[in-house]
Amino acid sequence: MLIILGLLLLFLIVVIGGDRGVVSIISLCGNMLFLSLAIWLMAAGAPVLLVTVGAAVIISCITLFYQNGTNVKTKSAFIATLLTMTVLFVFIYIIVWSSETGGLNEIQAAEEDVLYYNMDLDINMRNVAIAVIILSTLGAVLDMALTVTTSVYEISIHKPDMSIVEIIESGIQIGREVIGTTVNTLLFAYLGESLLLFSYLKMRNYTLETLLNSKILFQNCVSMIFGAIACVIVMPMAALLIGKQSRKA
Amino acid sequence: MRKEKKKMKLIAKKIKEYIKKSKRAKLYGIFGMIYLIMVIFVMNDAWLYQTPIAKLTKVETSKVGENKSTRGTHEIKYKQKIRGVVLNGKNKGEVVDFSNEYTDTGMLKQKYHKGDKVLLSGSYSNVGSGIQGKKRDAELVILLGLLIFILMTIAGKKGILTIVTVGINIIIFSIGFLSSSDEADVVAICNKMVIFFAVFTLVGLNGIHRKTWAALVSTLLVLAMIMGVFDVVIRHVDELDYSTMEYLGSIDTPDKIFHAEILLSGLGAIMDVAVAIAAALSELVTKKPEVTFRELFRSGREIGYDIMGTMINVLLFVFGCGLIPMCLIRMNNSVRLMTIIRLHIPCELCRFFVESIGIVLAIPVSILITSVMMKLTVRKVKKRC
Repeated sequence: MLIILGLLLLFLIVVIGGDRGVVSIISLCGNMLFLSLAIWLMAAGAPVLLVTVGAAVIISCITLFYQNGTNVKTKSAFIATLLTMTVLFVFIYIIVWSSETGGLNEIQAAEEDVLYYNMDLDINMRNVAIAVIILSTLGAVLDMALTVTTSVYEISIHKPDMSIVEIIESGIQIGREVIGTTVNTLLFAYLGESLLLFSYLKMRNYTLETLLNSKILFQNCVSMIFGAIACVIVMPMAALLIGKQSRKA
Repeated sequence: MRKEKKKMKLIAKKIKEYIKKSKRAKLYGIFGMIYLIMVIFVMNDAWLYQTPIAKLTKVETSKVGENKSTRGTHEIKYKQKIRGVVLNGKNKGEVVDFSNEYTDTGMLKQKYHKGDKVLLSGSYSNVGSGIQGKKRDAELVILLGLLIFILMTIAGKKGILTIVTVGINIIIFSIGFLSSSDEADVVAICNKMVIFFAVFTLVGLNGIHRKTWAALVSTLLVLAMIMGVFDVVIRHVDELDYSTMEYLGSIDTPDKIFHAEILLSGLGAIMDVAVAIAAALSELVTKKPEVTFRELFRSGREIGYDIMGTMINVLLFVFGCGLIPMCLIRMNNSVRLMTIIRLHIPCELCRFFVESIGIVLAIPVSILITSVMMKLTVRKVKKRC
């Protein structure tokens, strides 16, 4: 079942994407590999936040430099992503600390097989929650940064006499065109993920009060909201960086 | 005279610009005030709650012992003595004492900080014996407000449109979900909801335009196609084991919910691809009406390459990261990673594969539909001329 679907996917990517399809398959596999490696390291007791930073950097490198080539555009996108994530890291830490949303949520904790497992892992689940948020926003942020830098680069080549303010404005203009669908992509990805959860809540007759304050809702919302915020913040940042770079060149 | 007139005009222009800017600044100021008021309101909304809420005034934390963790290291156990004041209900003002135990891992129970507000397990008239959970609505509002504020300031009008479409989608979702009875067919409801979602999102973001319709048609077509692929594969190959689905609990129609999950979570990504291609191709057709089908196809493919990889990546991270906590628990309880992939997450993997197939399929489908629709309408216009 899974094998057939996987093969079908590979086949379609190769047929429709051609050479670049193969490249994106390889980078996709690389990302999966490093994501699993990160999970494995965390499970083995390595410091969670360090592993997260390392994994984020490596995954960004694969997605940008391997999939799209090493050039000014991808370099600026890389730096913009890194800066955005660093800024957001502080926010994410504060929010997760003050709301204490680490660990299993109410429904995961009520699952049957959880009872049989030993829960003393000596891994700080608060940090794991931060890792989850950061890594899950990463894909969307990379996408956004690259979109902005490629388009701004195109524009600045055609119009080399643009001022830095104009460059940033045009970068934001391009970002605006994409942001709506990106935010909706994230929204639906999480809605779909938590569909079963909502039906479960309905069956259990959760009141609105408990739902609004529950860990489940918070965990899902935080990932989505931070993803969207990161996508917006990265727009001007990427535009500024690529603008400066292309002016130098 | 002329020079003076020009100068006057320039000054007038500058003044206009300044007013425009200050209007904007005022708007931001007003919005910032509303945001602040909302946050303060939510921080003090205990009187709205039926569940008793307490504010923790004193928290004493002490080590009580050590357990052996699963990897043989030490897991420190803490105990907290907590004193709080009830903020609402009949027992308002009463001082209550609790105790809380947590470990370094904090898997099931978390630490409480001084000043936290917590929901108690009792009812309106009775405080109850323990803490039900932290009150998190203030953080939720802070984050939502921050998102809206950033969208408005940086993305401007498009940002507001984004907020509106997201809001509408959430309203559609909750109406569809709450109004359905327990026995209702989830797939049927989701099919209807998906159409609404697609129409409102696409029209809201792109306005009423030919490219919107092209994107809409291709989105729905691709969704139908991937559901068809999924059905065919599932019917001819061994059944998927739904019992491994996360949050399964005691739901008796897992296959239907799984269908609905695939429909919903793929929708956003497919719409994204369809819109990108439709917008680019329609731009091309309007700028160069004599463009051939082949040229359209080639540039569509070019755009498609760029989006395909990154979109699948976005889904990969959303899907992969949700699995981290459970993976950590299982791997530390000597379940190997391969076993987890084989036995515990086939449903999630299957969903990811089907959605990625949808993203890839969306490229040729939306190229075809957009170019046909654009070309046909352009020809009609020409004939009329």
